[in-house]
Amino acid sequence: MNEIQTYRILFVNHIKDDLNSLLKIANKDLSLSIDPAITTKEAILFIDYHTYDLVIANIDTTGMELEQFVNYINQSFLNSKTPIVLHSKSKNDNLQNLRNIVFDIIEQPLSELNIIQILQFYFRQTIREKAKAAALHQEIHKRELLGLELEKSRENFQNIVEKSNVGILIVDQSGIIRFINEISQQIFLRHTEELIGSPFGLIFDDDKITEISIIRKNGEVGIGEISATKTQWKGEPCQLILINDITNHKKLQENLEIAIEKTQESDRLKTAFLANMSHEIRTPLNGILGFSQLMEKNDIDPEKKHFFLSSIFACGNHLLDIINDIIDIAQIESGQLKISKKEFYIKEVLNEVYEMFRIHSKIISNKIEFKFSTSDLLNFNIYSDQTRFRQILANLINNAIKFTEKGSIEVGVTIVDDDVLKFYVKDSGIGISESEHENIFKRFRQVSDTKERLNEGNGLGLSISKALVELLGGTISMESKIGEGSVFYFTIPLNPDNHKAVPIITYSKQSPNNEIKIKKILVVEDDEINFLFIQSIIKDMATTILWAKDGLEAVNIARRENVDLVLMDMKLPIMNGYEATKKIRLMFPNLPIIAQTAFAMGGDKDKVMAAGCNDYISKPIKINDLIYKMSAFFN
Amino acid sequence: MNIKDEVILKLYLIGCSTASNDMVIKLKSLLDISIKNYKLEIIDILKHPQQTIADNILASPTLVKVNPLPEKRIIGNFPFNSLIAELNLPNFENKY
Repeated sequence: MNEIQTYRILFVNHIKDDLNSLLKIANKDLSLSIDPAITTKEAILFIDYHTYDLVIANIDTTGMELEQFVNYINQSFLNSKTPIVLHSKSKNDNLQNLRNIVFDIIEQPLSELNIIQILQFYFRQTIREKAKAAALHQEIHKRELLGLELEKSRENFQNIVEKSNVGILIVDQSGIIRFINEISQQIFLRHTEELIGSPFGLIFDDDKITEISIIRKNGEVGIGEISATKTQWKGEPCQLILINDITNHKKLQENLEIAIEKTQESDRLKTAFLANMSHEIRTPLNGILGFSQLMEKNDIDPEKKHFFLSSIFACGNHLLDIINDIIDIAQIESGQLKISKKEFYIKEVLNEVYEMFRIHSKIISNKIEFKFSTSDLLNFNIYSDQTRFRQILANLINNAIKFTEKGSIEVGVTIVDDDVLKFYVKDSGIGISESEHENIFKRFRQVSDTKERLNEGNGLGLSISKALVELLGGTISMESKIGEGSVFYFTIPLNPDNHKAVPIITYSKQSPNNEIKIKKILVVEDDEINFLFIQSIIKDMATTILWAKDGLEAVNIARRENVDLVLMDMKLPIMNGYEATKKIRLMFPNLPIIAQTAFAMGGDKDKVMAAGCNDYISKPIKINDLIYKMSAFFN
Repeated sequence: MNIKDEVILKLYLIGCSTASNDMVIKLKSLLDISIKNYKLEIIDILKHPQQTIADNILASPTLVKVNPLPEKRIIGNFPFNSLIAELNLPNFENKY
């Protein structure tokens, strides 16, 4: 609902008729409210307390000087700009100088009619002006709001552009950069000031994403995805270019792909290895089980029996080799393989290796000519791990024999720089194609992973050899051409600790002594077959053999029976071998206790020695080894 | 030929991938057909990083028309069909 607008009029006039004329009008028009003042002084009081829409003043009304009065009103209503209408009952030239500071001057007596005219004229004008002012005000307000909105939206937009992690560039039609956002500085490693105004270039693959290289200021090259669209910038046609720096993303993706490939490769190799292993283990097992069955028959002539037995023995040994390889590779992989270095006479070890292979079926049958040349210069001890050294050389020779059906194998050694021995194993076998060279020392690899392989072996030999050579401080390498054979080289430092050849000591190997008699031997073994086997080995050496099936029983027998030697299994029911050894050791500090166990991993020996054993023999037990170790205590 | 009109182009590339080689071959054959005399310098960014940075090259591939002025640069795949026109190069066929 519209409020009724009222107009407040200050009427300064001492003539009663004039006031009556106005009041008559005001009574008819409720929108007018009149404050009458009969002196200018009274008028001043009204002015000080109220605001007015119009002042009508008689120039003859006294109180103060007219110009001063008009000025006072104008000063008071500076904001509302209240118009003043002066009236004089006749023409008055003195009023001319006031024309500029009042709204109107009426130079005739007031009547109802001319008051109405004044009011009509004045109010029409005011209403129009007020409406105009209101409209203007509204417009201003609207524009202010719009400006705020615009500012807000500009801020939002700027935020989006500046904080975006995509580089945003605007280039003009000549390819000159006109605008860049914050991230662009990081993408190009250049400051805004360097980039704005410098040439970038134009992109012609509209709206298509293209992969490009990003050239950073430090010379680094990144990878980016770039796209461009036509746009306007400050009224000019321009190109809006978006650059997404995907360098890290790409690297991550590449690493991921490599990782996936490696995993797949490793998975594939493991599967191939398992299949291969299964075959490798089954082959000797087949021999063992097959010949054992044949042995059950009663009417076998001794010659055949001997053949069966030696076959079973060979198969067993082969199986043991495989298991040893698996243990080696497991230890190499877990970093647990330990090297124990001591002085040894190199020539002696080479002779042993020669003897070992001289009787190989392919060599003895002259399919392969075996040349083994050791230098006379090798007349000294070296400081290394004898067992591992022998294993490396044997692995390489085995490998050469495996891949040579007919031809020759040559083993030799030279001294390099006075402190390194360089060995070579050369064969005239099938050779290795160049593409395989890189992989040849990797585990589970064999020349061609095909199913129809002719060659036996678990593919671990070379990777074990490489790891062992490196553990001994040397290097391994190879040269090979397909069809022309291969040469494997490895180096062993003579004496890595002081670079000097160690003087010769005479090497003599003790032979097992079967002559020794031990009175009472306690065999601690929970498995009957194993006990029977040990019993059959030692029965000639012992007067009495006692058998304990668990650790507790062993401790009790030891306490009671005054035994001379204990063969202790470690994995036992009720009380394990470690516990039993500790208890027996407490009672008999000098009693020889030899551990015999199937735990064949490297750390196991340390563990049994720590429990108090004097020596250690791993299962499967080799007869000579056992006798040798036992005799050592009674020589 | 007036030195002012001599066409000098520089192509900044990375390495010698198949894609880069294709681009160079395509560009050369286009220029051979369209322009009588031109100089095309191919700059391997990896071999000349200092020059690349000094020349203010921000992305690769970038083709720069050094002469006739004004200089003009194209980034990414070239618009082979309209390249001559885009670079404002004097067209051989039109001239002769």
